[in-house]
Amino acid sequence: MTIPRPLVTALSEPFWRGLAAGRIDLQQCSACDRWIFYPRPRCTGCGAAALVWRTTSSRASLYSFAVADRPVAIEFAGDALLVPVIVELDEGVRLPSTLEEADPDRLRIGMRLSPRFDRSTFPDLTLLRFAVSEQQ
Amino acid sequence: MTGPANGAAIVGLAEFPARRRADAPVMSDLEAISALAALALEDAQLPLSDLDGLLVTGIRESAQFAPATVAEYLGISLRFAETVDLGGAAAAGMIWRAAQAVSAGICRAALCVIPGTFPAPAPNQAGRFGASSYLPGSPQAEFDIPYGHVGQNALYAMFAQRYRHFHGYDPRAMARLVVHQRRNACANPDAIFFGKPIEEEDVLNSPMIARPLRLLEIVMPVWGGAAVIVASDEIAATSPHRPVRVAGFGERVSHKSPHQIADMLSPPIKVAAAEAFARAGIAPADVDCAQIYDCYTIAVLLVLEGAGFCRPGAGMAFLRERDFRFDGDFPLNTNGGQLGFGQARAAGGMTHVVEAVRQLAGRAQERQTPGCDIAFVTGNGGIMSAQVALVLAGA
Repeated sequence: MTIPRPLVTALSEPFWRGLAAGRIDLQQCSACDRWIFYPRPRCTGCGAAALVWRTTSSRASLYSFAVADRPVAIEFAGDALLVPVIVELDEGVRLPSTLEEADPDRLRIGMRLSPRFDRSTFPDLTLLRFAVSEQQ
Repeated sequence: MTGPANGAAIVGLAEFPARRRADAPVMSDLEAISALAALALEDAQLPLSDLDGLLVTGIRESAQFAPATVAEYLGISLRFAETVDLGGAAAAGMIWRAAQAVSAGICRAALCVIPGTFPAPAPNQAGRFGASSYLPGSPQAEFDIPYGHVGQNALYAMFAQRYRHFHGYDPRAMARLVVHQRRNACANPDAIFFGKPIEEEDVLNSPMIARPLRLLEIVMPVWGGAAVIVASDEIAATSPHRPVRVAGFGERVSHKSPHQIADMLSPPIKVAAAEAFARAGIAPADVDCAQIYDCYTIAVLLVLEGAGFCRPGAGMAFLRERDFRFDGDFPLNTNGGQLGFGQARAAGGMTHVVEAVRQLAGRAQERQTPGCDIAFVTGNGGIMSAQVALVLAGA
């Protein structure tokens, strides 16, 4: 089975456009400087409708992870071991992703991660995956 | 301490015995609610016409107007009609809402009812990804589900992994908790695992589902359902059972997806429990029994710490040292909890409420905890996202 396609909204279109170009673009509040994920009409920190799309550093670390020793759903019951992760960008926001080429026994909370722009799962949509950085 | 009169009390209860899918009768949610209402009314010795409040979760037969549909089906007329959409926290959330409505004089007798019967939702429906929604515009449909952040096992494992990193993880301590709860289930003929005691090795050797979580640390879905009636002091005064007061409550709902929680090791129950204890004017040490939502062992551990029964990071030692059997020094999930009783969909949350009421009313039979006057109950909806704490006290 194919994995469920992200149901993209008009509001988050700049995020997906950024991924297609190899960038992690997110909204930042111009009133309180807070970065937010996922895209919304207003800042979740101060409520201001003053969010501006900006390019993040793409620098990230591992907040937590799971190893799907049993498939999480039939759509994900492929050959590769699924490692769902929560990633924390240095900008202070967290987002859901998966880890590529991960050795489950060597994963450590806080380890540095690098983005992997996955253009193969969907022909017209880039997914944001991560891998353990070479430099820790 | 006993609960002072505060305008409302739990006066009746009902719970279906847990059944495996294979020998479960086919029953709609409306049919199950009808049966549970009748059982609870009989238990409270009240006529149907006394019911003027209703709190339900959604029902499978109707995507909207659940309270009106149920009222019509039962033949009651409601002054207070409420849908509580908090998943595993719905039951505890219903209890304090009902108590507030009764105390305020809005209604006199409120039925809080959650069916947990089969069939489950069809696999192609939007609910097939567990607590995550795959409907257009849902943040989970755009950002969580495509990355396999679905279901419950892997997402609870993330909490366990983060706990392991900061405080260490002791699989044997978790296994011990499961064993003790199973002992409690073996004193409860209605539990799915009645007559099936296990040892720590059984838990430690059960299949790995999402490391470090093993099969026996995870609830088993069963057929069931449960209900209670919250009524006025006037009605409680004629109750055939010891009435049970809602002495304190607290609720926190701040996020849906695990990546949006403020701190995985400080879940919403921390503030919810603190508010519940403050309202009741008691401390965790005053509790005679705890009925803690236990979809996973890690969920119990985080609530034990969050509610203040032990300090953060000391949960594993607590699990190693205390005795959680109904006659132990920390009676916990005395009917087996969901790990021992089974999880009947959202009614799994109600089993904790019903068991607390039984213990406080001295109705727990062979698993009665001696001298039980104060019970602590929690509900947990989604992935540690909607959390409710109750302090219940025998009147």
